[in-house]
Amino acid sequence: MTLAMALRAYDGLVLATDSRATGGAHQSVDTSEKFLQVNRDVGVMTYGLAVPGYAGISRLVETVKSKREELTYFKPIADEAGSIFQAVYNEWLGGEKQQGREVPPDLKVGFILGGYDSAANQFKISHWESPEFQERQYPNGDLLAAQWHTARFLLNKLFYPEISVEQLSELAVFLLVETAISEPTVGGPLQLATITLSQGFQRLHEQDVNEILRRNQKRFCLFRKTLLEVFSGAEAELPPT
Amino acid sequence: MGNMIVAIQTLNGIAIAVESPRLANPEETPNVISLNQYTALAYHETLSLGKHIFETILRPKVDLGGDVVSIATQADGLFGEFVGRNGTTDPLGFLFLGYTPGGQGAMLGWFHAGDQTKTTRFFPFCMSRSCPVVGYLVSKLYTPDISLPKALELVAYAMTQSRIVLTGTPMIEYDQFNLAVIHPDQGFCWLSKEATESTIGRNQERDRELRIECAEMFIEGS
Repeated sequence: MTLAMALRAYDGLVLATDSRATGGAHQSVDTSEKFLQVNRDVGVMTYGLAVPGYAGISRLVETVKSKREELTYFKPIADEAGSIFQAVYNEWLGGEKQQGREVPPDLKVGFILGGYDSAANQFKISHWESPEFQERQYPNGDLLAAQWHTARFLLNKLFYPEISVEQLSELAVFLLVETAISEPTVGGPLQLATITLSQGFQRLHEQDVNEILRRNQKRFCLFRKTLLEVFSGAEAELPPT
Repeated sequence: MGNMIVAIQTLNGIAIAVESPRLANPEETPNVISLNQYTALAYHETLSLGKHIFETILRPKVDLGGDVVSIATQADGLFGEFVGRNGTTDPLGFLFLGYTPGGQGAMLGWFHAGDQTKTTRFFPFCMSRSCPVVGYLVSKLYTPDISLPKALELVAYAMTQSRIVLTGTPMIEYDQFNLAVIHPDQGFCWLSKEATESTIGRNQERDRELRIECAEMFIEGS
């Protein structure tokens, strides 16, 4: 599993994920490439089953490159993406069956498309998950997928709608690191990108992520300290003896 | 349908939070049952099947007067037999809470889902069937010397927050949310409705404080 997020700031989107791919008990690698740039304004991310996931996002990027005239704006790209993801998943599933391997129904692959739709003048987030690959849109909110629970808890406390893309990138790193503390399937180098009107899709380099991690150090401490402080006087009433 | 349960072991007892209709309908059997003064059983997955197994297998065939380890060990074989005989694929979960013969608190869980069974194993200090948020909060707030009253507030907070994350519901209704303890002297007992509501109220205040304290955390230069 992983933690994949498309978060919405007042001035753009932040796409963020970890890089851990797990394959069975106690086996994991931290090199999984989980998102790619589709065009200037759009990025795509995957989570869950690593092989059909990467194949799906790669094929979408190739298709958009080969059909530049038709696939310029977010909506036609999203329409094409759904059928590509479904086709790639079915091909992969067929291959697994041919080799006599059963795919447990709880193993899923998901895809998140985020970007600026210049036709509608809006930032958009769309989501597909196996086996149905029904497109779900998130016109106002954000999307947290796979191991999302801890990130949602933290987002409930720390997010505010006026947050900027720059600050939201720092919050996204905070959510990924805090989730990795208690969730062993989340971890490894962090992958982040921002999408803004002026800059389009911008992938953050490793040194940028490291700089955010450095700036976040005091926030990790502050959050832990605050939690400990608010619980310092906790004393529930026990039943009388 | 399963329900949520969180239990934390402390040096002076076990704190338990459970989604259960006990307070709403005292006639209804809650899914946390006192087996003897110092031992309780929670079934928390397919509740109707859990209740059936308790009534037809556990109660008649196991000596429920013993300590938690002895009860859980006897039950382990019977659960396995039941699943094998019936080909059960519905999820089942049983958690035994109580004291070992040496007087140490212990939590032992048995789980089954699909065609996989996890036989009885010990949980070191925390057990939750619900949501990773519990594990996160426990990793931040648990200390080995945590007191029983503090652990009760922690299980209540963790469960409330999990519920909000999972369902979007702002608050667990008071009548569906229960707290219990297994105390070394008093044994198993439920907290009253008033004590439960008062714990929830304090946790709401605590949550408000947390939001205020963290409101400026991501402002530039903070």
